[in-house]
Amino acid sequence: MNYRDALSIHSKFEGEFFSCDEPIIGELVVHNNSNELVKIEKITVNLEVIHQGKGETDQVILDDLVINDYASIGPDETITHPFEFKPSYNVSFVGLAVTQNISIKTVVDIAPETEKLLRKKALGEKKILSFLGGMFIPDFYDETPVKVVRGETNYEIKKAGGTIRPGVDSAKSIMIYSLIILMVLSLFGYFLSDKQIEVVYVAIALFAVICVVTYVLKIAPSCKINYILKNVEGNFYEAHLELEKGKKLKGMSCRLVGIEEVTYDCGSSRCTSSETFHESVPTNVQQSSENTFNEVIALPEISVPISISNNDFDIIWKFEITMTTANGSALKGSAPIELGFEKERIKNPNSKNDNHFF
Amino acid sequence: MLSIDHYTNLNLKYNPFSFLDPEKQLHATVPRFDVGVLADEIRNCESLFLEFFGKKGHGKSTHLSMLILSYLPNAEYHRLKQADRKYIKPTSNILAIDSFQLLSLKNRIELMKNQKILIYTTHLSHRSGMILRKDKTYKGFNFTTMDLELAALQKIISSKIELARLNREVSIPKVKQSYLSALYNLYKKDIRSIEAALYSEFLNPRSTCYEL
Repeated sequence: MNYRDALSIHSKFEGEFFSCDEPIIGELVVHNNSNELVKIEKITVNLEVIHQGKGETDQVILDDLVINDYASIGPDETITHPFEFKPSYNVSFVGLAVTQNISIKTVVDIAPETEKLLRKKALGEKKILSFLGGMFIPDFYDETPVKVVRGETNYEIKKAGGTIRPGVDSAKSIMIYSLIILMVLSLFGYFLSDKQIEVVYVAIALFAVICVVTYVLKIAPSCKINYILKNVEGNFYEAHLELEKGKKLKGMSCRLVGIEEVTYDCGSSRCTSSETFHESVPTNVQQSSENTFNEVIALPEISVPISISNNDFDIIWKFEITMTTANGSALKGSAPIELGFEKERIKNPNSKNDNHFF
Repeated sequence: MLSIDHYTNLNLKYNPFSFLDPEKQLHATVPRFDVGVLADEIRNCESLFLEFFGKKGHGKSTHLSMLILSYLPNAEYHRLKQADRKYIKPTSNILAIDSFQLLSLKNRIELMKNQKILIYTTHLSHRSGMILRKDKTYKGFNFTTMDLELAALQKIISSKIELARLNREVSIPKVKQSYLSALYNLYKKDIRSIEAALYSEFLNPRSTCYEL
């Protein structure tokens, strides 16, 4: 028998899915497939959020359990041990760049004398690789993913307020890219045309034209928009937007955008793989006074991951505004926000203040 | 985004070609030389300059990880990332560094000069650094020219899929031989690029590159 096959470990759960605000309840099953008595030092069970993607993997331990109840497990015997972990407040997510799994990770730490016994058995059966495997990674290990979804839990915007200037970011990108392209083209042109300086002047003039056009189309019609997002009862938020005084718009809409990102080493540089996994339907925001707009908007109904930053993994949420200017052009701008889950608030029974929650 | 059942429908816990932590990666490593014999040599010498060098994605970090985690667990082991700005001092232990080229020139010179047993991965060979050392014991493994047979690649690929298996009683996908051969002909020994291509294929529930 292979060393690794001596013990089978898996976790079983109550139900196929868990809501993110439900405790994760199940049982650990360990079966001894060998003919030997396996002495156990301890069993460690962790509830983890595991991120995996191209070039990187990382995990965060949400809850843990150490089981010291079992000194050994006999040949062909099975141990079952119940567990209950606190709610994960994270959901399972399969993206194009990032996978977020909520998993039960189990390590069965066996006694050194049992390790030797099982390795000897593997060697005796001429299972050399199995023998070596047992020598270097003696403990037994299992990782079982749990399907966790949003369920009935409401999302909540944790931090959202600031200023957006639609159109400015895309204007900057246009100017930077055109500068680089024109510099390269003018260098080629200069040397190919026997060092005619007029080629460079043409490139400079072209860049100036691009800057003017970009200014007229993107920057001049833009304006500062101060925004505050507040949670509203149920799965909603209220967007309060304030324009610079004197600016007139034909209309404004907003939406939430979710982005998954992983940064990893690729050779001698760092690469970032980034994908948009969610774009909510744009909602028109009603004008409530000369320069303010208000609207109550739904948060995502489907199960999507909340904002998270785990070393090189990021789930980023953005609040995006599209303003339609007086001359009909549409300018977009966005700012990062933090999206989480509403957690049950426990009122301090001794508090005299009704608003004192923790 | 894909359905949360995307991988469980294939009897997998995750995309088998996503990055693995070093301990999991050990289970899917097929060494291209005898790492155990190399470890014995290292343990039996007083001074050694050992480098794994070559193009990216050819297995340098994987072999270094296997050498240290499996055979030299007491070595001081640094896995450098581009974003790090570490300065590593010489030590009386065996010192292993993944991505030696990410250290500053000053740090590299200090280590090449003063570190008794130095093992690292790098893109370009630093053999010229031997000039700084009194003891000229050197060993280098050039991963760019080292052979990688299709059979070994097949074993790596199937090990990774097996590691991602969800249920032992149910079958797991197998990458088609023709597709793997095509990737091997395209990318040769660049295992990382082969795995990146397979990662993308496994995102597609209707991919024809694998069969159940």
